[in-house]
Amino acid sequence: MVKKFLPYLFPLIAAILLVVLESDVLYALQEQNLFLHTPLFFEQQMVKAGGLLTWVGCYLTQFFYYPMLGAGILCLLWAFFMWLCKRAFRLENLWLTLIPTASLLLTIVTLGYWVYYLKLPGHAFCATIGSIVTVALAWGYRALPHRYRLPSVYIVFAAGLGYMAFGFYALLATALMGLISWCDKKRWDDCFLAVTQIILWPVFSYYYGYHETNIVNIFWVALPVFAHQGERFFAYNLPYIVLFASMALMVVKPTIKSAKWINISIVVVTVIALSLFWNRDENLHRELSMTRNIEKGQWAEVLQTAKDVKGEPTRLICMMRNLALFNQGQPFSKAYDYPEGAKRPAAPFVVHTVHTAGKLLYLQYGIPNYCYRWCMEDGVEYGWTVERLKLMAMCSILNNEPVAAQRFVNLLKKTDFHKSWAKHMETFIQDPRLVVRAPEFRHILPLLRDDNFLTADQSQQEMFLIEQILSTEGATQEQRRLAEFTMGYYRNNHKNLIEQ
Amino acid sequence: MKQYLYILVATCLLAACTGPQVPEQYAQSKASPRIYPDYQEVTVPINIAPMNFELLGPADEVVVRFSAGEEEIICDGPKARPDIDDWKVLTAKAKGQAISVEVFAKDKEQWTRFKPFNIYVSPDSIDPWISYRLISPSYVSYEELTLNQRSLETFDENVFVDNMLCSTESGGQCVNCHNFQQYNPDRMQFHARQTHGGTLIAYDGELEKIDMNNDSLISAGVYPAWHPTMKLIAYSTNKTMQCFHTSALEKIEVLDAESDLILYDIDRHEVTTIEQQPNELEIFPYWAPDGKSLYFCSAHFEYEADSVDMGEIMMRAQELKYNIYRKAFDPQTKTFGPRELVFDSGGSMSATFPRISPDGRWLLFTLGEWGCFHIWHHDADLWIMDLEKGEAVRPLDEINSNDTESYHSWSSNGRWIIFSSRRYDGVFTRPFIAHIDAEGRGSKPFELPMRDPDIHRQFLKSYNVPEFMKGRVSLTPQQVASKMKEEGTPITHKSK
Repeated sequence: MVKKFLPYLFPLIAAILLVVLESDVLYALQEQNLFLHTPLFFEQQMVKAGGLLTWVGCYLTQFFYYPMLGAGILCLLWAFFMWLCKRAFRLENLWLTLIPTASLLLTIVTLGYWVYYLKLPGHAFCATIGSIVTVALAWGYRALPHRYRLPSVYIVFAAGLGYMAFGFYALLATALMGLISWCDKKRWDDCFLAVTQIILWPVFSYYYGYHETNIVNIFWVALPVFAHQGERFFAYNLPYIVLFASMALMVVKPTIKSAKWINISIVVVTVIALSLFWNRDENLHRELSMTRNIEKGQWAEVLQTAKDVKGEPTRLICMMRNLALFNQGQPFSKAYDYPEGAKRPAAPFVVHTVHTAGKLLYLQYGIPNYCYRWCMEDGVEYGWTVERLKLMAMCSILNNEPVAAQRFVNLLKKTDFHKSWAKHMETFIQDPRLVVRAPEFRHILPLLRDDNFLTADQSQQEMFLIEQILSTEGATQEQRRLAEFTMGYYRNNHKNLIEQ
Repeated sequence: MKQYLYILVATCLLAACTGPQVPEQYAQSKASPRIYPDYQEVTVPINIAPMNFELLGPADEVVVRFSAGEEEIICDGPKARPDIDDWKVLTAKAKGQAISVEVFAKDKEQWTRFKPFNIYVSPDSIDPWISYRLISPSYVSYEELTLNQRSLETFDENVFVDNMLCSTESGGQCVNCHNFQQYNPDRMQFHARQTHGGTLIAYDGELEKIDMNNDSLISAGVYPAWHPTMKLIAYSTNKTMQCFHTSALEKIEVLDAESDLILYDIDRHEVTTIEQQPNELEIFPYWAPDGKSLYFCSAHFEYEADSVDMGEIMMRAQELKYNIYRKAFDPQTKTFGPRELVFDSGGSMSATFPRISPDGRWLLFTLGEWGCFHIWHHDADLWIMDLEKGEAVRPLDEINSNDTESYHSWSSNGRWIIFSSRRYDGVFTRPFIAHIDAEGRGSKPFELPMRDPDIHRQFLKSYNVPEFMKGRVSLTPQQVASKMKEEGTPITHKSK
């Protein structure tokens, strides 16, 4: 009896691993996400095929605010998915469901720097919810009586309505229905119908429904696109391919028996795949941890994380460390106590700091205009997120733009987990005198400058910050020395830094 | 027992059918209600959609009464949203007069009646449609850019160009500068930049993509102006750059390092040069309604460097002061006369976007301290000049706010203007409409009414280049995208 439920331990173990190893990533996922309880937000999701899926995905992603809660929800959904697969595909071996479930886990833990760059809203939950919908739709097809050509009618509606709500996953479900009809019932007509629906609905929707998706992408809506600056990175699609292939396998071969060697093989392959592809880039994890601590004003923790770096740190780690030294009022010579370096971020593309934690650094270094600018740029390019709205609210407060600040605060008040932060910021809008004493702002105020000039950072953020500090009256002597120290590092390591 | 249940249900249903009631007892407040959008004492066209608004601030219940003569509409809830058919009846009744608006709010069991206000209903109608670009106020990124059209008589809105249909992961597309010939939605042009770039020209059902890039031009056509009757479009060509303010609230600056004016002949696919003065930056062409002169802006700028230097113009950006000029145009020979100064900004200010009223009498333009991209300048205001009296030029104080007023256009009957303003938060532009009387006096402007009046407080996009139209554009985004993906027809350039 216990053996029967043993596979369900996998989602539990996965959730525990997520909390233990990936808390900062999970927290970052919700910071790079936005869910608003407004009709407009719902409408804005629904203008694209798969809109309902991304809306639900955004809703669930916000629960990563408490990583344990978010991981717990994922665990329950994965357990449900396994159960659903067993029922829908009439599996004789529940261990088979480990393959798609591990793939779902991999869709999250392989992301790395894609946390900042993926454009699909709510992507962390989309694969899980989409897969559940896929299997549920396929189950519905299988469960229907064969009267009045009901299964055929079901295929048409599931593909059409499903495509609108769940995008690609409804097409996948339709494909599974075709497979089921072919494998189980030898009904070529339903199989043919499924193929036609998979082709026709996206094309029909393109011409008569949605106008936000290029025709070349209509079959893949609601799947993440791993592309950056014109380059595609198909390797990141691998968990998705395994996920979809394993579903097809469960339809075609549901009779695979629960034999010991098969089950052990599945577990071994799963463990190997997870350990091979799980992104364990320490620098990224430290960057995320430091970002979180800067937001909380926990400067000592920022420095501790910088000190604990094993190997060469990224420039972003050094920049955040320098910022913490600034704020702790430490002498610049303390910088020698920390590892220095310029390791290229472990991503297959060039990661510019302005797209990651650089926006926060601009704010902290007293250049709210540039923080605001990159928030706006990234908001347009990668979508609006909690982090961007928060930073824009803070920039507007520092710039004495109360109405603009109130707009961003009002939006954040429509979230589930950032209301209290928004209400806290509202006190500064209502009484700007409080800003001077606020721990969020008081260390930034001396760095704000009255003079204005036209320039551009050309994505060379650290050099821009150094030049800014060196010419800012409000900067302390130690801050200037630290800036000069970093400038010296730049002179000596120019070649390594050219791309960052 | 059963019949009591039926009576109870029937009573409940009847009660539910009863419309909202104005409270009989209330305290009278001397304060005006705090509403969004601010529609108090505005003048609206007879054919405008319902002026929906919401009461800001705490209230347990809200009732709003719109009345004109014996006609009245009563709405309840924090958002006053009259039924569109009732609204038509009410505005017809109030034609040339006013709709009185009373706002009642209940707080802590006490009803308060705020000071009533009027919405004046002008007998002057307005063009039934407007078009605009919806764009996030970003700087170099442009996802989800659309050209939209919106009925002013209802709330119908739809997209006719969407850049996402041509954007790919390897390249985005920017769409901009939509422009119509004489408010005609069947005669339209706009540009696309980068992926599948080109200029799309729609003319009475014909759709053509033009590739206006030519080595002898600074750039493809940028700011357009259709000739009112001929198949000609005047453009500026610009070498444009962007840079960023380190601390000024404007945040971004858009500058031209070089610019000229050209004329495009639609039938011949031929471009001729209109203005190419050395040390002059010409921009923003606009035809007089009779088509016999072309207005434009020009700034004198002499580089200290030997050639065009973007760094230098960035450093000396505040020296860019644009004046308004015009050139006579001979429709027979398609030739232009010499430039003639119309508005001299005196070297202390900069004038942009000249727009002539359909009767040819009024020149409406934007005036800021410097530069040409006034949509980002908080000091930019609308000014009006009486072309009949020449020197009579004044700021439109009755329309301007403390923040940006920029892109503007006249309605086809010359009684209304629509313009972009950042007056609410300094960040997101919203379209405002104002009445202009025969003497060039404006009324208090009103924000474009929306079905949900709160939308503009949540919406993170700006309205860009609002233009009136006499009907709706019949093109679909898919038709436009298909055409954009084709190769553009090349142009030939004939220098002056």
